Amino acid sequence: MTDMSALAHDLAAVIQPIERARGLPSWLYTTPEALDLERRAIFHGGWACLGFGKDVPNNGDAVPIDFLGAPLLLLRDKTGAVKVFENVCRHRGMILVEEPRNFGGVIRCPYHSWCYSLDGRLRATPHVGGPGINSHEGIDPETTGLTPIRCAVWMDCVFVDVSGTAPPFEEWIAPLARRWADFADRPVFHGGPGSSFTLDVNCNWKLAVENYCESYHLPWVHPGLNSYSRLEDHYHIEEYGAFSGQGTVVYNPQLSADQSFPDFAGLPEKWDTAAEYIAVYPNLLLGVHRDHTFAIRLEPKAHNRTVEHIEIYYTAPEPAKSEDFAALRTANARQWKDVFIEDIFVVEGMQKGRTAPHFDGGRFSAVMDSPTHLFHAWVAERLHG
Amino acid sequence: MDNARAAEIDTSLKRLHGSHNARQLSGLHEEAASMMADADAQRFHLTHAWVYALVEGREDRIAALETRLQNADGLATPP
Repeated sequence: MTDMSALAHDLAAVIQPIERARGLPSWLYTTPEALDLERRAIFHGGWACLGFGKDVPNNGDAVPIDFLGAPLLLLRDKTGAVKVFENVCRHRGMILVEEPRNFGGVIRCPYHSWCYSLDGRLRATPHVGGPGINSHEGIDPETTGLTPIRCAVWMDCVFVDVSGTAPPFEEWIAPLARRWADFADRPVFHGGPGSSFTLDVNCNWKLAVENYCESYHLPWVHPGLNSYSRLEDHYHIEEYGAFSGQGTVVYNPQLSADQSFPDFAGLPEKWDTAAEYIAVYPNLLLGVHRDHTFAIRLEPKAHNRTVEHIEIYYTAPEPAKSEDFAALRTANARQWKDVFIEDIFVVEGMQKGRTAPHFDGGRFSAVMDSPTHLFHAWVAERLHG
Repeated sequence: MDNARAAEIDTSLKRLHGSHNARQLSGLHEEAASMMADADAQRFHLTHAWVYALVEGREDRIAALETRLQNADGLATPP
């Protein structure tokens, strides 16, 4: 049983100036009850990343997603718009779609064949009034459609607000959209199957965020990266209550001696050598560069297990799809996969460390750990109410 | 009623059960409806023909089947 007063005390210790603050208590990393609390207060309590537009490339495509216990259906409707509904028939609560597929017409419930159009409208209720009688005054199609979930697409990332009570998406994403105005309104082009991979990591989802948003560990964990982009080339990125991360002023990819990806057109000069890596709370890790972007969706599977879904995007259809760039895309995906694999032992090590009976959440470097502390404070405030 | 054809349809419907072949299912049910002497049985099969036409997404067939169901008092007429 959770001792809520002890938790409140521990969370209050997190929301202190960084010099005095402690990290989030171990309980939040080591118990199923903590993930249940976070599910309600964080993942189902505001905007979070559900998936990617590239998961439903064609009109009529639909993908069922278990979003921390909420059965959702991500689909692209007949007009090309991405929508999210509860993946549940309004009749008897049957799961509608069990596996990804394309719908040429309606979505038919496999139980009693109630049918829904891709805009969620209840389209048919066969035999609802008796055999062969397909209407009944007790069932109003206008009010019995699929339950919509607020959603929005930004840089191909699909965000949902299960609660329905979060601020408007445009307002929520505005700080990052302003920071990345050079990228935010551009189309991005997914690099195909080779630019998509997952890592199954034995750690709490928060540890993946914490590790991503600070550069402090780079020289120790990523010597390859550090050989051309040193610790002192990095800077912190901090937006209170929204995101944190790191940037570098030395971005100089050397995947090939004689080929490079084309850059986004018309970028300001600073991006010639800069790159930024931001954790959008709670579960999306983004990276932008002049010639490609990537997104990592964190899917908490358990309090001690997280699946990282990594997707790499390019600036135009040619570098994303053509055979001429296939080898370069493979090299780029390999490079990032190697970097992300290098992080696994530290996040898994921190997970193991949180079972130490006397670990108190840890202390922060006031200089190097402020992006991590910002994230901890955000979690604490969301859980503290 | 052509009992042999009715048996073939029944066999085909069982074989296609659980498949995604909505076009064939819709066609078979519509044919079955045409073979039924009883109005209730006709409406039953027309209902299934309509549902599978919806699944297939063929608007012309959907409209035609909805008209037949409305005329048979099997579907409310839109206001």
